[in-house]
Amino acid sequence: MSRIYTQKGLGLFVLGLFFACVIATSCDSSQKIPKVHIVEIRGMKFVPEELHLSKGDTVIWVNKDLVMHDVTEESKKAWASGIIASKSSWKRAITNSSDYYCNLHVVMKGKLVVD
Amino acid sequence: MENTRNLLIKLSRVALIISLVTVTVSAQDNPKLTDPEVASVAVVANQIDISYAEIAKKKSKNEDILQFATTMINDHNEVIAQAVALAKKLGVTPADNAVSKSLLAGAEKTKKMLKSKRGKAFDRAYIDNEVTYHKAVIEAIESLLIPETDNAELKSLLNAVLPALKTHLGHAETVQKKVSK
Repeated sequence: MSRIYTQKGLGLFVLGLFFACVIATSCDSSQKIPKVHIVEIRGMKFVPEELHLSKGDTVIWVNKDLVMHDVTEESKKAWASGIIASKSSWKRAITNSSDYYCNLHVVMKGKLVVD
Repeated sequence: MENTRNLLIKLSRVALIISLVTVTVSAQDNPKLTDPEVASVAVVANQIDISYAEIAKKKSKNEDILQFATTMINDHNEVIAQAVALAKKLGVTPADNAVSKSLLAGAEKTKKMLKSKRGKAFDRAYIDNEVTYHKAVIEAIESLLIPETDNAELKSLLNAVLPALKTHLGHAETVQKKVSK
């Protein structure tokens, strides 16, 4: 009986080792797993105002103000969220450093820095 | 109930500060207000700025002015919704009163002045008035209402509204610089 358990345990160990090898070889250690960052819109500010991130990371803007906002890329209006209602959010995967602002309240500005 | 009344009396004082700055109400026009009347004043102050913005949307062709006016309509409608919700929670139904009528009378004069202007003269008059109006409202809320109020919900609402008003002022001043060129 104990021999059967030992063989079963050894089998599970080998199986685990196999999957560990598969996972290890399929993952390129030079590639980072994209992260998700939160930028809160509160008190008529983007918080944090400047966000450092990696290429491909996703940013979620969460509107915690009473009033609606939007998020618009500043230099060429290359991308824009459209209206983000109060208590709503919008997300975008970021590939380039960008300055952005709220097109509804033009004095509200933020910055994304891809390191 | 006493707390509610005190808060609403403070609200009426704020409304009076706004009216003194923007409408020039005389000393004898300083009536005691009932709770429903004060609720009316709070709503009217926002409605007035919406009415200015609606004129701007009809008369201006300036993109900056039109965008600012749209934001004023959206944001002040949102503040009204919040104020009405709070009034309802406090069991207050807005009612016309001397202060709200005085504010509206002053606004009528301003609207008449705005309607008499065209083109760049209109744009300048509208945005100058927006700068003045927002300064007055901010001053009233910061110097009187927030320091004096004890009601956590009202304080929270005022604290939430104040940054929006300051952003409106900053936005208005930015547009003012562009329009005055």
